Parts: sequence; C-alpha cells; structure tokens
Amino acid sequence: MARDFRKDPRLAGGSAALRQSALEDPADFPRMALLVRAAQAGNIAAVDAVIAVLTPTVLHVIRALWGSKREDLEAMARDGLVAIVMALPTWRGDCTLLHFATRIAASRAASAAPPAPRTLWERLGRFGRGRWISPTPWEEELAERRRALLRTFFGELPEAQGETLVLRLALGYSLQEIALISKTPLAVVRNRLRLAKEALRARIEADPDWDELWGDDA
Amino acid sequence: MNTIDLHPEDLFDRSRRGQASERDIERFQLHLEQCRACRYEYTLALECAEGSAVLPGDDLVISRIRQATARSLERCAESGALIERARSRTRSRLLLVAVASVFSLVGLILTTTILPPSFRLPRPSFLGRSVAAGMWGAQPKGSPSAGDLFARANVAQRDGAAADAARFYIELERSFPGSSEELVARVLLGRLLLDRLDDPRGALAQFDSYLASPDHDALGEEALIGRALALERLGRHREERSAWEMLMGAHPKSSYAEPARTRIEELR
Repeated sequence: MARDFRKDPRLAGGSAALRQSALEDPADFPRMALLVRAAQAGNIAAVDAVIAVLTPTVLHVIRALWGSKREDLEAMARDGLVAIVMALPTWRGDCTLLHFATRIAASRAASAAPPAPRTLWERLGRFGRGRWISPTPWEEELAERRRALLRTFFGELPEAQGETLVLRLALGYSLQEIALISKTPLAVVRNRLRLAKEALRARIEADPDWDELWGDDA
Repeated sequence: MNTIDLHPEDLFDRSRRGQASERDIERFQLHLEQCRACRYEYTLALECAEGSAVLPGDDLVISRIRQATARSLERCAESGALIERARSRTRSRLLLVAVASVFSLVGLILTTTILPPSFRLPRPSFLGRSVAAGMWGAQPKGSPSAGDLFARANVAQRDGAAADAARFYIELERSFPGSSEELVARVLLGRLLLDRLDDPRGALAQFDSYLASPDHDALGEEALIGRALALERLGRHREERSAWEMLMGAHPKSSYAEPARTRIEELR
C-alpha cells in the first residue's frame, strides 16, 4: 500500500518553523561579517561569538545526516566547529557564514565513519539489518538507511548541488532562502536542486537496495 | 511546461512548514503520487527533520559542545593556530597599549588645552574610570563578565531586540573598556545604531572611538565605512568626502571601493 502523505502527522510542519527560528537569521549577516572579520584577526571574543552562533547549526546538520542517537554526535560537532574556525581565514565573504559553515559541517559529517557496533547484539542487528533480525522498529530502521543514502549521495554529487540539497533537506530552507544564503541567483538554485533531485532519483532506481526503501511498504 | 514546473517547490515549502491549505495539500499529495523525485526529496526532508528535532536539554548539549570546542582550540594553540596567534598578539599589544596610553594621555591634555572647547576628540577608552575594575577583576562577585555581556548583546541582536542589544553593548563599554570584547562591540554597536536604531550621531561616536583606539586593526575598514555612512546621514558632506577618501587610501581593495568612488564624485 502506498504511503499516504496526507495522513502523515509530520505534514503539520510546526517543528520546522520552530527549528528555523533557532538558526541564523539571514538578515543578521552584516553583523556576522563583522564578527568574522574580528575573529580572522584573532579576536578571541569574536571567535567565541562565532562558535556560539554556529553551534546549533552544526549540531542540526549532523543530526539531520546521522539522526540523534549516535553517541559521538557532540564530538563530531566539536570537530566540525574546530574545522570551521580553522578555515575562517579563508572566508572572504563571497558566501554567507552559514553557507560556509554548513558546507564544512556537512562535508565532514557525510564522510564520517559509521560508529563501530560494540556488542554482539548490535553486530547481529547490523548483519540482519532489514532482513529478519532487527533490534529497532522498522520505520526507524528505514529512516537510518535513508539517511545513509543521503550521506553517500551527498559525497557523490557535484559540490554546488550537494550543498543546495543539504541546505534544502537538512536545514529546511526554501529556495529563496538558499539563494540568499549562498548569494546565488534563484534560477541557479532552482536548477541545481532540479539536477540533484533527478540524480537522486536515477541513483535510487539504479540500486535495488535503495529502491526497496521506497517500495510499497515504505 | 518544462521540467522545472514539474516540481512544485513552493507547495513543498508550504506543506513542510504547515502553511498549506487543504487544497494545497491535496495538490501536493497528487503530485507526490506521480513524481518519484519529489517523493524521495520529501521523505528525506522529513527524515532529516525528525533526526534533527530540537530535544529537551539541547541547551546543555550546545553548551558542552562550545566548551569542548574551546578546549580543542586551546590544544590547537600549541601548533600555532588561531588562538595562539591571538594570544601572542594580545601580549605584544599590551605593551604597545601601555606605551600608547602615555603618549595619548599627554596628547589629549595638550589637545584639550590648545583646541577650542567645541571641538572634542573621542575619549580613549583606557581613560575610563572603571578600567582597573575591568582589567584586574575588581568587579563585584556575580556581576556579568565582558564575555557574558558580549554574548547577551549578540543573542539579543540575533533575536531582533536591537534596543536590548545596544543596552548590553553600552554596559560592556562602560564596565570593561579596553577589553577584547569591548573593542569589537564599538563597531557592532555603531552599525546597530546606524542601521537599526536610527542614531547616526551615536554611531559616529562609536566608530570614532574605535578608530582612536591603538588596537583597532581588525575592523578598521568597517569602522571607516560606518563613519562615512554616519556622516552622510548627518549631512556633513565635507567630512563625509574626506572619510571616503580615507577609506580609499587605507583600503583601496575594500568591497566599498566602488560605491566610495562614486560617492566622492557626487560630492565634488
């Protein structure tokens, strides 16, 4: 039976708007540019302020790509933030700080190794994933496998398309907001997203393991 | 109809944000049944949203991550990274500031003696009454630190509470003059006064105060731009022109170079 999106409680969508308000305000970019300039010059208070602004975004990106159950999420977020701070001297203001940070955080999160299974039960669960042994509910399992697909796919896409897809899917931005964040014309953003979506469809349909994630039961 | 029209992204956004009407949802549902690419996209967007939902206790998690990041950056300091550069720069600047203070003090006394009283230079921050309290920790226990005030101001500004942000910046300037936070705050407050609080006179004082500081290289370009814009708003066009020329002289590759050139021409 095909999935009925009308009955999906997530269509209510309120949480997306709430999360949105916790992220960087696009209208706040001039202030961020000032802070980054000070951070680039080595002002510790400015570095701290930049970290404070970016931490929720980085955590959000990592959770979007890995879910919230991975135990080393905080360490991943820390490493992502350190990488962003180290890369700050290369930021020239040709994109917004949010775009710059998202690019680094998403790239690191997508290429992170999956956590090693620690117990025999977890190993068995991994071996039997999606077949006959599953320690987690089926929906949760599907969600994790779809996130794995997204991580893999993000690494395969051309950089600009991958970034657009992450801003769209992981951070929930509209096309207009993505255009503003990435300082790119709206038509270009629309085209990148269209190409990414078509590539995603082709990739899924070419791989039976992934295609089954959207089978009649999914 | 082209391929782009086949993917109704606006409907997607409205549905995801809970702003779709019943009719929108029906149209979107119909589209999802026919378009696999959009079905994949929408499903993945929902999975991402669920995975990254804000959880109880996230404030603590974010605080832990910030602390861990600061510790990691401290460790990076050993390899000559950003923080170490900042610290060594701060040490050498302390000496510079001490020397500059003596010269500036003498200069200020001479200036105020010689110049007519209507013309006043911005008062250097190191002459503030509470400088000792700010630098050597003599402030009363429990009062916010410079970092606290700076963070509060930034959060307030981010949340759109411009007046609150200005209040925190001003408190920071009053309580911790000369601190690293206070120096950056002068430019941030200047832009806040100029862009959001319609106070070009106050903004100009902030930019002047920053540029008068001996430790002002980080945001010098932005302060010069802000100064010129504030003078423009005040209608002081001769000074404005000279401010733009100063910017062009000090930062010929500034992102404001082109508008500055145009404005100088207009003011001729």
